[in-house]
Amino acid sequence: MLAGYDTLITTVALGAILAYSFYVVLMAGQLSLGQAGFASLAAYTSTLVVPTEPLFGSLSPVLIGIPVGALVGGAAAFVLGLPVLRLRGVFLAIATIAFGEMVRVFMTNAEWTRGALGMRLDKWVTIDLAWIVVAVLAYLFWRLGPSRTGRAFAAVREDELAAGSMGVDVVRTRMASFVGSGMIAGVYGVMFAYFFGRITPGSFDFGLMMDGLVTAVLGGYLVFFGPVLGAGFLSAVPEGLDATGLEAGWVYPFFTGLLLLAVILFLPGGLSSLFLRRRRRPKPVELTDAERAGLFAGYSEPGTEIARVRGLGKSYGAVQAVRSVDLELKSGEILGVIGPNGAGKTTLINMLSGLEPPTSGEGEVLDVKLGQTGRSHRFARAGVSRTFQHSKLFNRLSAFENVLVGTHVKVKGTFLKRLLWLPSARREEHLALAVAWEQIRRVGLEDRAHLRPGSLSYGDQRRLEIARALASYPELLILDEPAAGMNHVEAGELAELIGSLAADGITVLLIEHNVKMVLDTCTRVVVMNFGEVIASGEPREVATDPKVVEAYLGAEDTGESQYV
Amino acid sequence: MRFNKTSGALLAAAALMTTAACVSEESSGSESDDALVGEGTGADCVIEETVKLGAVLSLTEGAAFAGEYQREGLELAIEELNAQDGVTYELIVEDDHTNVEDSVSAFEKVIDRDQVSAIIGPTLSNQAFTTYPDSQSAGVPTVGISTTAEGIPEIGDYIFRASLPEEVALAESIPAAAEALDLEEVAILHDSADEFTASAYNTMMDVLTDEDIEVTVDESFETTDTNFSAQLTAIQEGEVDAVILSALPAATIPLITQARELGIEAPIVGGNAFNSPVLVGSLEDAAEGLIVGGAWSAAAETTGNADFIAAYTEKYERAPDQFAAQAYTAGYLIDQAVRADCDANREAIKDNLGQILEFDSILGPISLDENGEVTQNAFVQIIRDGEFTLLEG
Repeated sequence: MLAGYDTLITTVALGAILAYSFYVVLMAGQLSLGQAGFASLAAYTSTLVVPTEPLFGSLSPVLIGIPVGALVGGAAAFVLGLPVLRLRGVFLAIATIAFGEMVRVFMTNAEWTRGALGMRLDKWVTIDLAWIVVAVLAYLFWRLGPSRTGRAFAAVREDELAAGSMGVDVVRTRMASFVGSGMIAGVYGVMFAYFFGRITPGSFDFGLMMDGLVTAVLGGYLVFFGPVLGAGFLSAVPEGLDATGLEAGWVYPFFTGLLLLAVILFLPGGLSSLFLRRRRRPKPVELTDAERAGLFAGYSEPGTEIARVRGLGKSYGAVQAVRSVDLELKSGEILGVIGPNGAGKTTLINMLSGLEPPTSGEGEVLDVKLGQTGRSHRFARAGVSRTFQHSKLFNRLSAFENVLVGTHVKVKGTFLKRLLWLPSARREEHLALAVAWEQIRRVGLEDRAHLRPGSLSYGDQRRLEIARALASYPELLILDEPAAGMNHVEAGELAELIGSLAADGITVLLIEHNVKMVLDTCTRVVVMNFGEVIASGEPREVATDPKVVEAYLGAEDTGESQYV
Repeated sequence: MRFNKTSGALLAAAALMTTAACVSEESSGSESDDALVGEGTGADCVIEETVKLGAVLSLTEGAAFAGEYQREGLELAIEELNAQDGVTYELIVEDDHTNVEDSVSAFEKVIDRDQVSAIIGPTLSNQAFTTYPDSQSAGVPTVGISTTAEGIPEIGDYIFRASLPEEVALAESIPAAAEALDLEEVAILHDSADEFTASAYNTMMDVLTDEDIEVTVDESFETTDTNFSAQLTAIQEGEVDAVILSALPAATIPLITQARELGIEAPIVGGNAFNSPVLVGSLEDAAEGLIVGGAWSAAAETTGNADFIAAYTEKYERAPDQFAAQAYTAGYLIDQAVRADCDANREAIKDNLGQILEFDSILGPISLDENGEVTQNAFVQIIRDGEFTLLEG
């Protein structure tokens, strides 16, 4: 039935391979467009090593070229990634396009590539070989999706700051996706060269890059078979149009453009998202006793010092957001930080959770020194977990998947184990699912676990963020205005929750404007104003401190604090 | 249980991998069809079955400027041939969108699905390098009509071309221009990013060396460039006798316009890309003095040329160019090969194409050898008063 369509079907496979090299970067939210350059480098390099005779009499010589291509593409991506991965969005796109052009110009002018004349090669790539490579890639991405690494990719795509705070090493994850893209592009380059039997520098141009990007976006980068779907679709359209007998040259580009537009407008997740329409409710999974015991092990004795900062300050140019703050935190405490807007509370906890480096002073949190930027995942791994003043949830993941990302530091990497179907992968995945269920139940969202954060109420979003933070079983939990937007019933429940966390042995640092809640819940309160600590101590004492009353709490006519 | 299933699947996958990665040397199937064998020879040949011919041309995108002329020239030839008695042809035209992938798919379609007896095309040498190995291994005689790059006929014994190679055209036009215009020092300007123009550049340099003409300025540019002031200024400062240009049509027009605007008045010698009335029309006055070496000339008094120009102009309401003329000729060459043994099977066409000797065509006497290379005289023309005129050396 398919006789006489070999080329077409192989072209679909090649298109899918190229699209996978875009898929892997889009999956991690990186707009990297240097694939044509990686493919070109790999294709030309492979011509130096691929033998001209079949291996062992009958094996395709490209079997040597494919790993070489992957190696060259991956290595080129790594070297390019070192400087350009500081860039994001459109700047990364431009830098990587420039790289592709550089390779093209280089290959055009090099002697051994025969310049624009190109090289003739043997056609060693068969239809089966092309589809086996696609099958291997689809398998890799199928197994990657629900693994710890796959969740890290998704988290980095949705929100780098939040991903870092959940213990995901953002720099490494971006580099991994970049190198993966280089490797797949390298494989594509080799397959392309040995399928068409010819390479010229012009084969790997801007147009090739656009084709790959369009295929990946059309197919969708949220489901593992998206690239195959995209490539199949883009090849089927012109064939279908041929069958209708329309011959005008403009028809094909016109229809492709129209379909692309329709997909982007109505199916932003690509064609493959059609298969995701019904979100299944995740099945509850229970923690076993052994797992539970492992999670709680290693908390510090109540009363030991877990964080200490001295003379901590942060200035943005001439603005001194925090000045010379001394603070220590003891295990088991619930420390409230209150103060008027702009007092420097959020800046203080951003420094304590590793999001921003201090400009003066020093300190340690759970034995991690404050300092370098881009290292927030180290704090998360040491046991710091936090929520944000403005919720930073992963919007295209379900509520449950959001919480699953939170388990990042508590489970071991499962991608390689999943590839091999090792039983330990199932154990780790069970642990992650069980931990996520435990936390989503704890905040009372179990019946909304399948929804996306955008469809939850404001209060539910804040609770979801707490559940995500708790999924890492932190020793120190930092909550930035968790009760903002909650009514007093919800706030009461939240206070109860915080109390129970402390009873479990978690140390809590709470920023809150709901002073009653802070005074009721916290064991100690710090008051900040203009970047400085103006009072610190037992809640009731602090509430009557005249400086605090004047700066923040305000007084009734009697001059007595209304909170006492 | 689960372990068994998994290992079984792995084993199956491994087995599939090893078999699929095998390559087999397929022998080209050359089963012949008796229905395609007729009676009589030459003009008396009668074949019952319709003979299918495939044409893969660039009808849209980059090379459409040539592909459309080729389609029209070829369709005109087939129409005329079908009006004769004995053999009926069906022409299946495929568009390759000026793109290698689509060209390969189109070849597959005409070879495997349409089962054509012979193929004409593709428009660009770039596509031909990728598609000709396929028609060679399938055993389908293939005639190139504008694939002038080096190394095309060497792809195999089923590959022919009715298109005068750039090197031959240049080899004749440069000496002719040198003699007529007394050239001593020239500037050479070429597109280094296109394989066709890069290959032409190599030929030009060889011819210039042979002719003892000194190249004092050697400049290059890239296909998509639009501003050539740097290169042209260098040429102007060189004060050369002539400028030799190897460029695609898209760059040729702005290049020549800019050269004339800059005040370069030296004659400009070019290859195939110049040989088009469209080019001359777009350049208007700037076209004066261009020297073109080509396979065909509207001014040539070859057999049937005047009739061809008249029929073409009447049918398509525009004048033909070299692309049309070569495609038209290819139709007649294939008919010649079919009628030789009155056999339209692939093998017979291949054998007879290689024996065409001094066939009297609108391109003048034309021969194909069994290696697939064409032999004909080039027409060296100069544009005077907006008309192509043969340059008499």
